Amino acid sequence: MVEDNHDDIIIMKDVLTKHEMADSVAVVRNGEEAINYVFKKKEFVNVITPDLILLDLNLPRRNGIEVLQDIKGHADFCHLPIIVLTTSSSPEDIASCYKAQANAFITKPADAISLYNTIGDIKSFWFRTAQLPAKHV
Amino acid sequence: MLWFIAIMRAEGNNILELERSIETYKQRIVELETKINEYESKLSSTKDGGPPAQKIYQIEYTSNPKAVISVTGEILQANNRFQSLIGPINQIIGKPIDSFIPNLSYQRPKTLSQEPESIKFQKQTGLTARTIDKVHLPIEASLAFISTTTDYDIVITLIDISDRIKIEKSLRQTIERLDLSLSGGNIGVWDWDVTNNVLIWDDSMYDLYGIDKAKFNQAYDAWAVTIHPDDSEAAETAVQTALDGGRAFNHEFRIITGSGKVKHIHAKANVLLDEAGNTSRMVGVNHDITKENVTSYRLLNSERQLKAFFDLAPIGLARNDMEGKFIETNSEFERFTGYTTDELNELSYWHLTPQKYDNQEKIQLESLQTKGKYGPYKKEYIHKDGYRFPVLLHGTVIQDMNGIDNIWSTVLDLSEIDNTNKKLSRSLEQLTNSNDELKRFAYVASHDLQEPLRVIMSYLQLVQMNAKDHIDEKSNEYIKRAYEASKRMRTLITDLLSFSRVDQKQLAYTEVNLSDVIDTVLDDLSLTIKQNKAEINVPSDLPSVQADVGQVQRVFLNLLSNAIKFQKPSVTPKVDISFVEHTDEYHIAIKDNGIGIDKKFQKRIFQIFQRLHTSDDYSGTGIGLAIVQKIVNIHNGKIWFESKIGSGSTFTFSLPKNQMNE
Repeated sequence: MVEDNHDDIIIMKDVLTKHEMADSVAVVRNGEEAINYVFKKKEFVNVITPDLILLDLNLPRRNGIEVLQDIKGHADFCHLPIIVLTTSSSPEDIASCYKAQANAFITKPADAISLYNTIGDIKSFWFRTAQLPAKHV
Repeated sequence: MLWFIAIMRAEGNNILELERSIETYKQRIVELETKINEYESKLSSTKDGGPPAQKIYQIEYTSNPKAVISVTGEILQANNRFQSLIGPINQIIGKPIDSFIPNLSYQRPKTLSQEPESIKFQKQTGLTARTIDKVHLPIEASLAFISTTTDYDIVITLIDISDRIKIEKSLRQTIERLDLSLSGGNIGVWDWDVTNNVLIWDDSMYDLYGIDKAKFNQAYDAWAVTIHPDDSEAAETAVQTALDGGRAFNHEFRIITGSGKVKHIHAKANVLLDEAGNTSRMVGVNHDITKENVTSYRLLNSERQLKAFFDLAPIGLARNDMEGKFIETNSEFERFTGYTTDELNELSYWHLTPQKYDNQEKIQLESLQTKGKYGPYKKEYIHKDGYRFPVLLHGTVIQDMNGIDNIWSTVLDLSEIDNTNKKLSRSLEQLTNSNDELKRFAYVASHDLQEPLRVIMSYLQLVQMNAKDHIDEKSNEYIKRAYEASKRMRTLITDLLSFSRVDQKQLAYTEVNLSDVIDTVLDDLSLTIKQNKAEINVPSDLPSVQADVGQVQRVFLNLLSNAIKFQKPSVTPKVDISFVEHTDEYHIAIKDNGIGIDKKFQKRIFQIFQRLHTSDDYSGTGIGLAIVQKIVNIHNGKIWFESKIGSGSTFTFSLPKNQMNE
């Protein structure tokens, strides 16, 4: 999960806990860290490649779109499913994210109950309904 | 004109005098003859006593030609004089008088009594006598009709007027000669016999006055009536003064001609005295000076107007010679330069012009020399007090009466205009800035406000979910209320955001069919309509307008949902949509049968977040109508409403058929 807002991280973690997913989620706080995490650079040399990325758009250093372009433009990591999860609902943002090959665009629900439901939807779709690529392709 | 008056005196005067004495003399003779006739008639009728077959009249002893004719015009008798004028007795007796005097009329006068010896006299003029020798003579005839026992006889007395005609002719010729020499100069000649009040005009006079010669009765009054009412008293007084003092007459007046035209006449005349020293005649001329007068009047008038314009013009005006010296300036010019006329007359425009304009002045001077004009161009003038101020100059070269070139300039003092313009553009800039700032503020504020609000609401929910069983009921209630308040705040922010998004710059005009718009809106509202059992009446022939389709949908959505929402309980909402076509726009009305709006809220109702009811009665933030008005306004339309408390409201808005392309 790429998220800079401290409150959002807490709320998200609470909701993920309710879904019993909190332990399998790693959080980075800006675009640069997100790139490094996926590309296993600097302090992230030893991390495991994630199954799914939840990406906020409004990020310090490098913003969400850049992160999206970098990952989707990288031959080794372009297969990673990326779900944009942002407060924005503007048609421009939605269009440019899908153009940059985002796998889904979800506007952050306005309250915790809605967020709980949304995370439930993601969980059920991406980890039950859909097939994810194998770890090492 | 004196030369011709001299002729009139030398020639005309004598002829006229002569003519008049002859005339008087002849008249006397006619009178005497008539009397003689009477005596003779009486004499002859009493002498014989009885009715003779042919009465003999005593016609021999008179100096005039006389003849007696019968009722049928047959010549019965002729005296020696008649014979010597017309022909010998043997050639005329028994002949019809008509063969010698063709136009003579000898019909019995109606007034002649049947009583024998009754007499009626008649004078006939303008006749011509034809003698046996075929000589034609101008004559006048005096006829005496004398009743007889059977019928009547006629005694004719002829007056040979050849001499008089000759005199008249020579007089006429004199005037004609003058007339000829004066013709073309709009000058008429007249001669007024004051004693007998006979006014003789030459042809030019008739032309001048536009009067038919035959209709002019040749008397003073015939002239006097032609004078313009405003001038007649002065003119007649001038005539009288000339007559009384025996002085020359010299006067200008206006006349109204036969065709109703006004002419300006300059009349000059001399008064002539008879032997006894009494005023007897006035001889003079009339000169038509209409053209000169009108032209000079017009000139005078336009000069006066120009002078007034010059003095009163709110723009500086100046006349300079080609060296730049001031010749003439108006009061506005003096006002903004601070100099008086006299001071300016000592200066040239170089004194008023800062040196830095030397080059520009050169260019303008060149334009003046090549094109005859300069400007408009902006520069500065130096006020008498030393400060500089902006002016706009424009000028042209005009030759004066003496053929000398002058520069005429209009000089506009721009100090006030410049200041105002500066102030205006400053305020405009400030306005634009603050407006843009406001828009940005509204957007950013609402956007940024949403973030923490989302967080607050989320925490509140998480607390409720996680700690529901660990906190007391009161706290639970507070958390619930805090959450509800946050929700309201979110609605306000969303509304503010959507209000700030209604922006002219983002409008996309297309041809919008209002029927389609309403279909979409009714679709969106279908649930509300169903729940309220609302009846919505839509005309089938709604027009198309140029508009932003999304925004127009918003207008109808807000107005229709208001119409349904603000309803008395237990009343079924009924909404009528209608429209009226005007020249450039449509007026669209949405009428409901709802609760109505007090007229005093007319202004407030369209303001953002203005609510007339508590949210317990009717939900909403009070943004709907504000957005509607904003959308209508940026579409160059207007919105207003009519309402009656308790029985419903009608909201009407105008939409132009076409949007101006900017």
